[in-house]
Amino acid sequence: MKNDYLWNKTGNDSEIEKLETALKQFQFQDSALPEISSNVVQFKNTKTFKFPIFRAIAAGFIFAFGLIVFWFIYAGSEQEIVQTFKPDESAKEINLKVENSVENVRKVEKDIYKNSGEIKPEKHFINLKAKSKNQNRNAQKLIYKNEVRKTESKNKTQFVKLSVEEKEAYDNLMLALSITSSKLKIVRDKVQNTDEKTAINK
Amino acid sequence: MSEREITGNIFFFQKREEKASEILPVSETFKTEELIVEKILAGDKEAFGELYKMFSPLVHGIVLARVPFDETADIVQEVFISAYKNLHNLREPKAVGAWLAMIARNRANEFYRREKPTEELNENIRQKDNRQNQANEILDTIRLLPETYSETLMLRLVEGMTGPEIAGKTGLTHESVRVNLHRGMKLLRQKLGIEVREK
Repeated sequence: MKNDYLWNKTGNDSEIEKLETALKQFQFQDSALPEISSNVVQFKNTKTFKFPIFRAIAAGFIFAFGLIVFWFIYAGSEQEIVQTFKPDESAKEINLKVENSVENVRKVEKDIYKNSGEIKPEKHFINLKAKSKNQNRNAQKLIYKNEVRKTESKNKTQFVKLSVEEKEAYDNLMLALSITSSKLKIVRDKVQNTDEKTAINK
Repeated sequence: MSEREITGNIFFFQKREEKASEILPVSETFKTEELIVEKILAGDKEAFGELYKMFSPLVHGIVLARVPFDETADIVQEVFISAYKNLHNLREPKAVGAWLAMIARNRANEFYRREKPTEELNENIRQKDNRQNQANEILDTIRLLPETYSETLMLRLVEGMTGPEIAGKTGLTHESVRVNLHRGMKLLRQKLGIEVREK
């Protein structure tokens, strides 16, 4: 029964009862409810950096990250430009093609003269060649300008830096095209003349 | 079946019934605790009064196990103010008793951190009143016991709570409260007996 009194106050235990009466003076006295203001401000944990050095480090990291991002974007745009203007063949190959095309034009010219039976006017050809050279240069400049404008209008940020070999190849190509065009013009004129002559003879 | 076995079975079922009767009110108190907490969170100040009435003896007992009696009232008030401010952080409203007990323990320990320990002059002053002196001695002896025992004995002997009540409010199991009470009482008897023999 002693155990029960200690546990749930059933039965009797004089010893524990004595202790209870002795300690009753320390029992909790029903006091007033603690005053709680209506505007109890909840404590918010606003942790800030204790030292400014952390801020500096953080700023440094952000700056470095920004630089990396910028570099990636810039590199990407450069790659795009290279992809758009990527030459299919190397400069040497272009030069070879140009030379071949010039030779082909000369062959065609020779064949036409042979067929028509006329003598090839060397001097005239040289003069024409000289004239055409000047014209070609002007035309070349115009073409180059037009090309630049076109590329700039397409994408203003695109800018191609050609290497020495590429530039040389480009110039040669332009020259060859201008020569071929002039030659073809001469040939066309000659063919027209021969046609007229044969018509008159007939 | 022998007579001994039958009486054994009867005792077994009697004990089970007793246990069931002890457990049921505890679950009900859990429900009321939950409701009270919900009401307080909704802004009901009267509900906070109910919580105060319900748990102030528990908090007082826990604080008294650590702090001088004169300081207990202030610390109890501090505990409830702090509980009111941080009630939204309480995850399980069922465990509000255990949560308050934890705050009370922390506050009582804080008391010794901020206040320099001073020697009590009560013994000399209270020489005239023998009864009070004896009560103080018993209180000090309980404080000297291990924390778990001193807390449960304070709640039982000073606050007059029963074992199941202590278990329900602190969140401890019935078995552990029973063990704490009996072992604590055994130690207290030993210590008080030794003191009596010395005198």
